[in-house]
Formats: sequence, C-alpha cells, structure tokens
Amino acid sequence: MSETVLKVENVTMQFGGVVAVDNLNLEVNRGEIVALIGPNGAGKTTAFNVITGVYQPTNGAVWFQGEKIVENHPQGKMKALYKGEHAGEYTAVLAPTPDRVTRLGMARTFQNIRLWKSQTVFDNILIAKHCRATSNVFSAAFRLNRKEEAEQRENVEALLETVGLVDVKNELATSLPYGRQRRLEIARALAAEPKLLLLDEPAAGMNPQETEELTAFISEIRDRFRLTVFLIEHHMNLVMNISERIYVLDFGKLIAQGTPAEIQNDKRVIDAYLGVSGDA
Amino acid sequence: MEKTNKKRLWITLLCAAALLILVTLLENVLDPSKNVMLFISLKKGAVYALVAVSMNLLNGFTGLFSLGQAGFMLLGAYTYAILTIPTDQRDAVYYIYNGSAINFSLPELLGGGPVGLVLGVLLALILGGCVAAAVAWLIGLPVLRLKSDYLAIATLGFGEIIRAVFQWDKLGPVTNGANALKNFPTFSSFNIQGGPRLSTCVAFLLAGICIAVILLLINSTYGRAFKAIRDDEVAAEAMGINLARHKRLSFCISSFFAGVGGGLFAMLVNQAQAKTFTTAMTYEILLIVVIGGIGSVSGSCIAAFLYVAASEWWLRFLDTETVLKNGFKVPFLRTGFRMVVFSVIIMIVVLFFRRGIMGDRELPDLLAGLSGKTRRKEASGK
Amino acid sequence: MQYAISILLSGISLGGQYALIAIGYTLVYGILRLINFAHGDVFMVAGLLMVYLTSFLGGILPPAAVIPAGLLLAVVLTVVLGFVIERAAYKPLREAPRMSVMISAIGVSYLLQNLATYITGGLPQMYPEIPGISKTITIAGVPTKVVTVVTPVLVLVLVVALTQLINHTKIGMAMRAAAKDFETAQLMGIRINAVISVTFVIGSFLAAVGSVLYFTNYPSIVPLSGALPGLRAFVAAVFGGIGSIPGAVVGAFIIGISESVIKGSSWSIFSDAFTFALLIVILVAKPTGLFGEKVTDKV
Repeated sequence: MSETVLKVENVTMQFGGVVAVDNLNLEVNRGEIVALIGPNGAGKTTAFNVITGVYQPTNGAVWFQGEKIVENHPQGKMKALYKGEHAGEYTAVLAPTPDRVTRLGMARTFQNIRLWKSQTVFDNILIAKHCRATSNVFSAAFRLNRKEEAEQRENVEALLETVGLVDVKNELATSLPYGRQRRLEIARALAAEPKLLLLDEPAAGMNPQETEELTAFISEIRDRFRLTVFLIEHHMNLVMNISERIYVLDFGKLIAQGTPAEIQNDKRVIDAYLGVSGDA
Repeated sequence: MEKTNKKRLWITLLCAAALLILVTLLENVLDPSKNVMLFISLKKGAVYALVAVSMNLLNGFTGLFSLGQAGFMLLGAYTYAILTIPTDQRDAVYYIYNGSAINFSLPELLGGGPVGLVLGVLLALILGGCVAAAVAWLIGLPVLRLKSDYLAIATLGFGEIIRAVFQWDKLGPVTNGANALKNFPTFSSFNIQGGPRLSTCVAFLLAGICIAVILLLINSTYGRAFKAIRDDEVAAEAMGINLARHKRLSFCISSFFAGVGGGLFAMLVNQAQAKTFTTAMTYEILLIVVIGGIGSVSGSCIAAFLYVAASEWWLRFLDTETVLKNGFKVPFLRTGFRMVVFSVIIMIVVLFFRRGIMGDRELPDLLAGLSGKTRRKEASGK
Repeated sequence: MQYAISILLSGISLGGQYALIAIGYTLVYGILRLINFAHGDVFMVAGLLMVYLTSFLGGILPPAAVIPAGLLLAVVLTVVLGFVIERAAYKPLREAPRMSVMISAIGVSYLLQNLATYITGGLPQMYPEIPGISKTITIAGVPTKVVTVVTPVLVLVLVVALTQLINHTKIGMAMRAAAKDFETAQLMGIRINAVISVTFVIGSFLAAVGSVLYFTNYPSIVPLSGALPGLRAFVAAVFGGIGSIPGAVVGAFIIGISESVIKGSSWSIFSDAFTFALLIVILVAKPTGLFGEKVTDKV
C-alpha cells in the first residue's frame, strides 16, 4: 500500500547566492494527503516549482511513480557559488518542461489563481483536457476527431457535475466568486487526469466556512479520483484536519516531519512560527 | 451549447454563400470597366481579409505579437509567381538575367487549358503557403522563445531580411532580382471569354475557404489551447500544453495562410515585387486586425473591406481639386489629402473605439442573439 | 587605409545620430513600455520644419540670423509636437491595453507621413546648408564634413547632461521611479503625466538635434526619410537593451558603424538585413539586449 508516488531527493535550489530550498528530502505515498507548511518565504512554492518543472533545481533529483523525472547538478557559474550539500552525487541533467510533468500525471493549482480569463467555466476545463487529446492538428481542424471531442465534452460535463459547478458552466471563469474560482482551478487540474494533485495554498483568502467546505472537498476528490494530494497551506485548521503527514520548512530547510499531532507539539516548529531565534 | 454551435455554423455558411452569389451577380450585372474601384476594393478586401485573419490567429488568438506578415506574404507571392509564369513568357520576364533558372510552369505541367489553370493555380498557392510555413518553422526555432515586443521586433527584422534576400541580384535567375515578376495567371484569367466573369468570385472563394479553415482550427481543441496560451501562458503550460510546440504550430499555420494570401495578392496586383512587401504593409494589416477587434475573425474581415474601400475608393474624391458650380474652389482638396483624412479617421477609430468594431465577438454571435448576449454581458461587467 | 578611416568616420557620425534618436525610444519604452513608432517621423518632421522655417525666415530676417533662428524654432516646434502627440494620442489610452497604444503610435506615424506628403506634394525638399557643420575638412587625409566630428562630441555632451538630469534631479528621480514601477510611482504621489510629458519633450529635443546632424549629410528630405533611421535607431535601442540609455548609445554606435561598413562593401543591399540579423542573434543569446535587465515571471 505504501508505494511512494513522489520522492524529492537532496534538492537544493539556489538563486545566485540565495539558497531558497536547502537539501530538501521528502516522500509522498500513494493515496496520502501530505502538507508542506512553513512561515512566509520558507521556500514552499519554490519546492513546488522544482517538482513541477517550472524551475530546474541547482542540485538533486525528483522521482515520480518510481521514475526519475528531474535531476541536476551545479553547472557553470553555479559550480563556484554552490553552497549546498551532495554536490558530486548527481551527474545527469533531466529538465522536463512543466507540460511534460503534467502529462506524466501531476497537476497543480496556483497560489494566486490563474484561470484563463476570457474563457467560460466549461472551456477552462475543456482546455485542460487538451493534453490528453490524441488528435493531430489536421484531424482536429477538419473535425475528424468528433468522437474524441464528444467524449471530452461529456467528461467535462460529468466533472462539473461532481465538483458542483455545472450551474455556472457558461459563465466567464472570472465572474465566479473567489471560493468557486478556487474550486474551478482544482477541477481544472483534475481534468488533466493526474495521479498526484499539487495544491498551492488552496485556502488562501478564504473565510472559515469556505475553508471548511474546501477541506471536505479535498478529501472527497481524493477518494473519488483515487488521488494522492500534496499541498502547501497556511490555514492550520485545514492542514491539521486532512493531512496524514506534514513536512515543515523554514529558511529552505526541513525542520520537522510527522503526523499532525507530532507537529503541533514540536518545539522547533513552534519556534519557527513564533519567531524565536534558531538556536533555541 | 452544441445547439448554438450548430446554429452559428449554419448562419456563417449562409452568410458566406449569400456573399459569394451576390459578388458573382454584381460582377456579371455591372460593367466592370465603369466600376473599377468597386471591384478592386472587393478583391483587395478579400485578400486583406485573409491576411488579417491569419495575423489575428497569431496576435489575437495565440497572443504572439509578430510583425512578420509582409515577409511571409512575399514568400507566398514569389513562390506562386515563379511556379506559374508560362514558359514562353519567361524570357521576357527575366530578360535582365537572360531567362529563368526554372523552366516549367505548373498550369502547363498539369495539362494546360482551364483544368491545368485551376489545378496549377491552386497547387502554386498551396506551395506558396508551404514555403512560408517552412520558413516560419525555421525562424520560429530561435525567435519564438522571445517575449512580446522582442518577438515583434525580431519577426519584423526577418521580414526585412527576406525582402533583402529576394532583391539580391545573385538570385536573379530565380527571383528576377529587384525587378517585378509578371505575366502569370491572375484573377482576371478566370473571366471566361464570352461567358461569366468570375475574377471577383474566385478571389472571394479562395480567401473564404482559407478563412473557413482558420475558423475551424480556432474552434478546435488546438484553437482552445492557443487561447489558453494567450490568456495565461504559465497556467497553460502547467495544464500540459506544450508551449514551444503550440506556438510553433500557430506561427506556421498563420504564416501558411499569410503565404497563400501573398499569392492571392500577387494575383490581385498582376505582379510580385519584393519592394511592395514592406513593414508598412505589415502595419496596415495590423491596423486592420486592431480596428476589426483583436480576437474576432469576422471583425478582421469587415475591417479589411472597410479599410480597403475607404483608402482606395470612397475617399478618392479628396485627391482631386474640385471647383463647385458657383466657382467656389473647395479648399484643401489635392493629391495626398485623401491619405491625411484617412489617417485622421484611423486615429479617431483607435482612440474612441478601443476594442475595435467587433471587440472579441463574432458576427454570428450577434445574429444568433441569445448565447452571445448573455456571455457578453458578463464580459463587459467585469 | 584611408578608405577604412572614412568608413569608420561616417560610421561613428551615423551612430551618433542614431544614438540621439534611440534615446527617445528607450526613454519612452522604459516608462510606458511603448514602442513609439511615431518617433522616427517626429525626427523627419523636425527636418521638414527646418526646411520650411529657413525659407520663411529668409524673407523677414537678415541672412546671418536665418539659420540660428530657424534652428531654434525648429527644435522648439519639434518639442511641442512631441508633447502634443503624447497628450493627444497616448494619454487617453493610459488605461487601455498596451497593443492599443502601440496602434495609436502607428496611426500617428501614418498621419505624420501622410501630412508631410500632402504639404510637400511628395517632392524632395532641399535641406538648408548650416554654416559651420556643412563645411568640408580633412581628417587623416580623408575629406569629410565638420558634422562628422561634431556629432560624437555633441552626443557625448548631451548624454552626460541627460544622465546628470536623470540621476541628480527631482524629475529624474521621478522618471526612474516611473520606469521601475509605473503604478507604485503614481501611488507615491508622483505626477505621472508630467513625468511622461518631460520624457517626450527630452526625446523630441534629442530627435530634433539628431535630425539637424543627420540631414546635413543628405541633400534632401522626403516624407519617408524618418522611417528607416527611426527603425534602425529603434533596433539600436533594443540591441543595447531597451530602457537603458548607455545601452541605446552603445547599440547605436555598433549599428551605425556596421551599417557604414556594409554600405561600403559589395553587400550594400544587405545593410538593413545585416542590422536585423545582428539584432536577432543578440536577442536569442541575450533576450533583453546587451544592457537590458532580466525580467522573470513569478509563478
């Protein structure tokens, strides 16, 4: 059961002289909901960006479903600048573009909602299906892919039904209230048929009631779509309620990991959040 | 959703068919020699509509700001001309270079006569598009990585480079250097002697088919992916859309149709000469796209006809000095005043109709009513 | 050897003239992110103004005063033109998408060209001879006009003055702030419209000076005279990294010299093509030009 879906191995991300993520190691197992928390600027989103191919790490590797998808080692100017560990261990360079990572089965949402503004709710989800389409540009333009197109539309309709957005399917995405835009963004990620769902602060800017609904929603889709969920969040209620395990990041370094109960009582975590100096 | 799509399709097809019949009737009822400007405007409008739509595909639907359109038109025009000049005309056309390096002509190879003409012209136009698309693919490798304004200036640069290459006298036996290529089949070649005149109809038909294909593409899964890239590149990439591939695709397809448009342009003006395909021409097409509405195919078409008719035909009287019956000489009217008025009109449109004639709506949306209306309300409400 | 020197001299002089135009592009782009397509035509209008003003003033002023008065008036009127264009064609579109403003710039360029064609009747206009800089002198055995020497010196003086203005005055600080972050600058109480007007005034002033130097080398001026130098200067600005003044100057000299070298060879038909090829190579290697700042899209 505890098959590892995502494995981040010795990942260091350095921008010039600034180390944003320092030797990060973590694992997410199939079917789990795992949270990555930490104070602002701890490097959480950077870690996400490394996993999804937006950034190329300075050193380290990322494994997905048993396959190494990202690998890098300090090169060029970075060789001299590199401050992290495990410098000599990696030799290959694997740098997939984000779309490639998504097609491998990993879909994400963004901290600041990034929906396609001029598109309807329906089209926002339909477009996400594009990466699963098999028709080439000719068969698509000359409508030789009718069957696939009809299938896609049916799937989108069904997905909208599941996530409860079917009533607004012909509205413009940006005309929805904030909470539903978040939900739409998650639905869009689901449309890409991922195995692993990455949520970057899904509850940001939500009121307590919306957060509660979202919490239920995440568990629900995990079960329904047999997903693994990896999320970044600040709302401790949400994190403690749904995550099975939690990783805590501070100044780019992993300072703790464990179950919600363990994390709640971890001295280093409390210090990090309350701002006590590091040697406490 | 499906239903309104069908409805839109029918409305579009009906409009197109009606337009084609109307144009053909007009040309055979009216005397072309007395309505020269009307028919020039119609034909030029059709050609510009195609080129504008092809530019809109790139700028309006994919969000890639490219200014290479004139360069790709040039490629199409030259390919078309080189492949269709009759062999017995080649010595006359290439007299400076003692004949042409290419000594065949597609209409003749395909059997000559009316059938050879139709097939040869079609094939030459398509090949013109292919050459433009192939060059676009090559150019795209380095420049499509550039962002917005930088992409614009790089593509503009390529337009200039292509123009210089085609004027190079070392290539004279193929391109005829800085001289014009002429004597190839034009729209008028389709006027059947003693029978119906079909030149305008042919222009409309060819441009119409191309625009229809672009429309089909825009409404396909690939078109939707293009729009996603335009709206938010980062999100599009995160949702599995391969940016490099789709941008290249859009760039090549747009260039293909610009190439075909260039071939049609050569047919329109009876010659192909590198110096006509200037940056100013690209700006003209860009103006049409913006005046019509960025992201609206029907807007581009309408704007193309209005633009051409206004600049070539309706304002023509401003260029001639006019003395009224009572001896009053109308001030300002003399050569050049037409273009001054025309540019003032353009400035007014740009300043006061910022979203263009159609915004991002399509004509069938307006006609089909409902579905368009509700969607638009929300769009303007945001 | 002499040939090489003469090529180099004309290249440097051309580069200096492009630099003066390029600064106008770069300043405006830095603040408004607008490619001011009309700038080349403002440069052309400055030349035409000089033609018409000297012939008009020739009738009412003593001969010695005609050229200085004409120069002064031409520069002032060009500056006014730049100011008016910004107020009439760009300011109303401040909130509109960037594309609209650029189209407006193309429209203004169109209008200026067509207006010039109408007024001149499309005929080339003789550019007046300006005593002092039109004279022929000999440098290292190569005959050339005084303007060739004057140009780089004048460019240097003007660029130093401009950088002083931008780095050490209040309006310069406002310009830098607006270039960094337009909206925040506005929120911090910077009168953004004044800043933009000043930018256009400076740009037009430099274009007017550049036009005097440039057209002295040519016998006549036509409505399209501004298009090509404008385009080349713009390329120079992009080449050096648009938004950066030193970049524009360095870019302009590189473009000017390489143009002059190619024009002197048997490849002269490719002079513009080469300029653009150079630009594309630079952009592909360094997407924001030589001195441009790297921009990253935050995810």
